Amino acid sequence: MILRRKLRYILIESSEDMDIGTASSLALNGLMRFLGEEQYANANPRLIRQYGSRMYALRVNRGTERRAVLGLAFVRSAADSAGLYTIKTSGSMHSISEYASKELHRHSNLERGQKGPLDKG
Amino acid sequence: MAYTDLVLMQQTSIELAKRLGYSRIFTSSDISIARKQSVRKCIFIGSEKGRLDHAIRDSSVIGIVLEDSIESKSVIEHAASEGKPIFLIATHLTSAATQARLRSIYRMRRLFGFARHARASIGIISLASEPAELLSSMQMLEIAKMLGADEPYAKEMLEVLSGAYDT
Repeated sequence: MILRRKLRYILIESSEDMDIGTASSLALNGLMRFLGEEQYANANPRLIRQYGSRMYALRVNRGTERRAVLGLAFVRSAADSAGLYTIKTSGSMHSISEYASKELHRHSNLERGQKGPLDKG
Repeated sequence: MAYTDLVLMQQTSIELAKRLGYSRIFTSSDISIARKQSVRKCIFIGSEKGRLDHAIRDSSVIGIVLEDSIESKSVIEHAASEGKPIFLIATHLTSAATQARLRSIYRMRRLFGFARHARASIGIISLASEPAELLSSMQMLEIAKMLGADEPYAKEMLEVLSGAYDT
């Protein structure tokens, strides 16, 4: 019998464009610093997919996602120019991909001007 | 559920606010951060007891921030009796260098404990001055829990700003 690993997926967004390699080292180094080696090993975080230029899927072991979300709040790039926001957590990669696709679609519609310009909040 | 945040930026988009899990992100043009009396709706930030007491009585002040997380029992009790929220600033934790951050976490946890014990209303805001400092509502909830709040109270903390703004 093959034991199935129970995983959680976190959709994260960076405040500026970066490739998955840069985002991965930023997120994983930040998590290592925040969680410490033992909890990092428990969480076993991996940045597994990029959506568009700013959204990524992070995979962690189930039960460690809350610590990962907290850890990501403390992540800053070397020049403090980029931070990471957690958008959504889910138990399936499918719902993360679906949500990210919707967001990208909405964003491209906005850029094409099908909706109004971004309003002031 | 009406999670809101306050940032020091001039402008944010509604799309971003929704993606981050907020119903609205207030900017400094909606609510100012003041160190002295203001005619506009503001959050007063200070460390002097007299000024803080004066601010708590001021109707334009919708909440106070205790600078450096000072634990002034009388100010906290005064705020609790007047129903003025005390706001904790998340970026003071997330954007600080490591040593300063550890100290800030300790002091903010103590302030949270005192304020909760005094039954004061406690809110949490990011006060981000640039996009890199922004935090999603999910991250803010986890920060509130790190400071000692349980899940329902952490959610309430994110709703305090909208409640104070509407009154």
